[in-house]
Amino acid sequence: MKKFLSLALTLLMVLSLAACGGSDPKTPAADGGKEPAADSFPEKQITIIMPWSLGGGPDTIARQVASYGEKILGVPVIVENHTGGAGTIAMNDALQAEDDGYTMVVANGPLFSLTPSFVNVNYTLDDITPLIGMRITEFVILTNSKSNITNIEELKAYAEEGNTIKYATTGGPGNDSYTMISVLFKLLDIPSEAVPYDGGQEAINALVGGHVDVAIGSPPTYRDYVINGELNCLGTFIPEGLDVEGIGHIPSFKEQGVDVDFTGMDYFAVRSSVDDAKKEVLTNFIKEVYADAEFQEFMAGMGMKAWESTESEILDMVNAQSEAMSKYIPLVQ
Amino acid sequence: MEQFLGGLEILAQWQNFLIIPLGLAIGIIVGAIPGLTSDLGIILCIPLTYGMDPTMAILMLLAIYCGGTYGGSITAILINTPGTSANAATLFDGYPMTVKGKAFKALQMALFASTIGGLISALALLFLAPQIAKITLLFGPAEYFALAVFGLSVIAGVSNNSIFKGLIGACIGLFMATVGMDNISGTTRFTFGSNRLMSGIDLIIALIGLFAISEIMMKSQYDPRTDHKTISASSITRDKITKDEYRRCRKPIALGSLIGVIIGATPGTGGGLAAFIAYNQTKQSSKHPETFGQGEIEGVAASESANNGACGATMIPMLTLGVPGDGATAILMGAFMIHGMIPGPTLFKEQGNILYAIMLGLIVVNVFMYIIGNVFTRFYAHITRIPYEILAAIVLTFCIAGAYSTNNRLYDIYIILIFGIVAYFLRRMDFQLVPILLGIVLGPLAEKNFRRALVLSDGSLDIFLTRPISCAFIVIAIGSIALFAWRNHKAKMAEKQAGAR
Repeated sequence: MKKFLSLALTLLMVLSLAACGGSDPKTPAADGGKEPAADSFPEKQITIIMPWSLGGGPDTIARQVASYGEKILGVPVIVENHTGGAGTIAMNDALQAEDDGYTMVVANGPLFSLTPSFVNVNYTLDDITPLIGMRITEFVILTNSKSNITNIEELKAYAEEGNTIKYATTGGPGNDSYTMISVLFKLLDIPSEAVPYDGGQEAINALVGGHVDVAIGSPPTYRDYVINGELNCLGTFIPEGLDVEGIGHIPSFKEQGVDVDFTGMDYFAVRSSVDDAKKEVLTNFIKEVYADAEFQEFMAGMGMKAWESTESEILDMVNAQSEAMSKYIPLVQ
Repeated sequence: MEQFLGGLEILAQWQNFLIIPLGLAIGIIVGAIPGLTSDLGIILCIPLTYGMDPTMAILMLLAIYCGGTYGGSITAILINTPGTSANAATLFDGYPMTVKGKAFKALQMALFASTIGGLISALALLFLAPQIAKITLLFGPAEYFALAVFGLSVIAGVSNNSIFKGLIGACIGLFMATVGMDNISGTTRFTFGSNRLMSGIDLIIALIGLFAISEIMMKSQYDPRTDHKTISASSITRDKITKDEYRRCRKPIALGSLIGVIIGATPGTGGGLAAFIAYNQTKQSSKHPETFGQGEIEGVAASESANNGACGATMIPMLTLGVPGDGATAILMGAFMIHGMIPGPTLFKEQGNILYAIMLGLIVVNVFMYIIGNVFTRFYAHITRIPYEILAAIVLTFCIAGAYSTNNRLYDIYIILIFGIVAYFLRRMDFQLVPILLGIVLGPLAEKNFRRALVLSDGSLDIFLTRPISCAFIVIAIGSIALFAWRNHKAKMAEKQAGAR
């Protein structure tokens, strides 16, 4: 009996500890219910909700931006990773947070153009306002140079010899790289099969090791291998092609006569109901970070460039992408 | 050679010798708190390194990584909860040693073995990186699947009392690993419509629930009035490792370090698997396998040399191919990029000096780890003197804070509680937790690569036998299970004969 009593007490203790965690100090300071003036904003810590995991590209950039919080805004800016659910968990958490401007979220195009086709979501593009762009991701299709396939025509010829093309993706169905490379092969109408890997490096490694015929990659994962001559670039989804330092011009698939395009993008956003003046404060903060010489050096070190685009540019791109995806998704489902 | 000397020169700056002990101390502390991992330690310290020069920055982060991998053994030994998944194999003999009052000895051996493993790993990185990297590239889906099968064969070794309970445990683990979105087909499995379960159950969350929470519940039978043993402070650190014990541990440490280097250099595996395989192989080749699991110092030596042996080796594929060996190296890779070094095939050509400084620095890190660890173990050993009714509350708080901090959500706290309650009842029914953990760790590796391999082979199972490395792993796995079956059979026959007489 005593055993069970003490077991029950242990459980009770655990549960009460868990319950204590429930009272998040998110409630705004009681100042008579009056909306604080925007000129005093921000007065306390700002949180950036990050849908993707620690140490990834967007996370690293967001953390770098956040490190300027004390210097520029005078308040700490912290990054919280709310991973899972293909990014939808972070979106839900961001939309459930107070619309007082103290919660930002990092979002991308596929959260609106692609994910809703695979996961039940309860948000739309109208719920958020993009503040400023973060980065552009350019997907490139690559082959191992030992296969002697250097362009789309040679790939087609290889398939016509009776080979099923095995292609490595950086994620499973519902992932943007998976969707785009699958759409490409559907449009080329050649027999092919996807081999989903976890992340860009794994996919490139599978190609370098000769385990798959084709892989999809984004800079800087493949750059060194192409310069070394171990991998060939077949083309990119960026409609105007891509110029990479040390490699030169990578032609787009559009230029090569395949009607498919995709530009990956990440951006900072807030709930659309946040006060406009506060949106401006946050946007100007990030703009100021982007203009900082040290920050630019940091981005260059990562082989990237900050993508300083405006709200309307981002919205247009997401809308165009959603429209394109509505054609693509039926092809691969 | 020129780069080597250049590297030595960069390393010789005095600042480096200040930053390494700092990193190690941070690493050992985060490693020793269940729920806080060296991954988190590295992430938190990256911003501190912005102002440093690249060598110093990377050395600090590497020190956190190595310190964390060693630090996880402290809780594994003292409170039967591995600080990180790499230390799970240390439980087998580390905790029984504590129960026998030999906690200090176990901590000392863990430190010694970690240091030797780390040193061998650092030397392998320094001298063999390009060669090992070439072998790594040969690993395709078939090889990874075979490696995972080999890893799962360890279950035969760690559950020899009841192989069926071991297998049931592994199935529970494999089942838990299927929760979430399946990356190959895109379907969600066992999420019951919850978006929160879509990314599956975090390894660290499962680890806290399975080991820490259930351990506290197991202690619910503890009665502070009678069960608390008063140990005098001076007696704790008196029991040092004898010369004979060092001699006995030579072989396990050598074997563990070697396995650590090989497994560590294989991307996507990590120190946990290395430790299990090393433990199992040491037990198999031992003349007295029956003492393993009862507080055998060789068991601690094997698993701790293996997980730190993996530390330097995980850097091999990262530096040469740009492929991180495990979670912590993936984050380290980000740190390399921040400091203007993009890991990959051309890194050695472009930044050879700094790389040599870092690789040589890793040797220094391990030497310092021995010194700092020695100071820490003296304090940590006294944790055994804290009455359990107080320790349990502290551990529980850390577990819950650690679980929450992993993803910043309360949901994970509920998961550790569910895991803890399930694990408690399994333990009451004499199930071992380690097969469950092996299932969780190796399940995804085995499943994903099995399916990838079948896509590549157009559905033919031959791929696992026609590829030499894959075939070799499968043969070793079968051989190792057969050896255990034969030994068990012999032991049973001997028992029967003894009974007949």
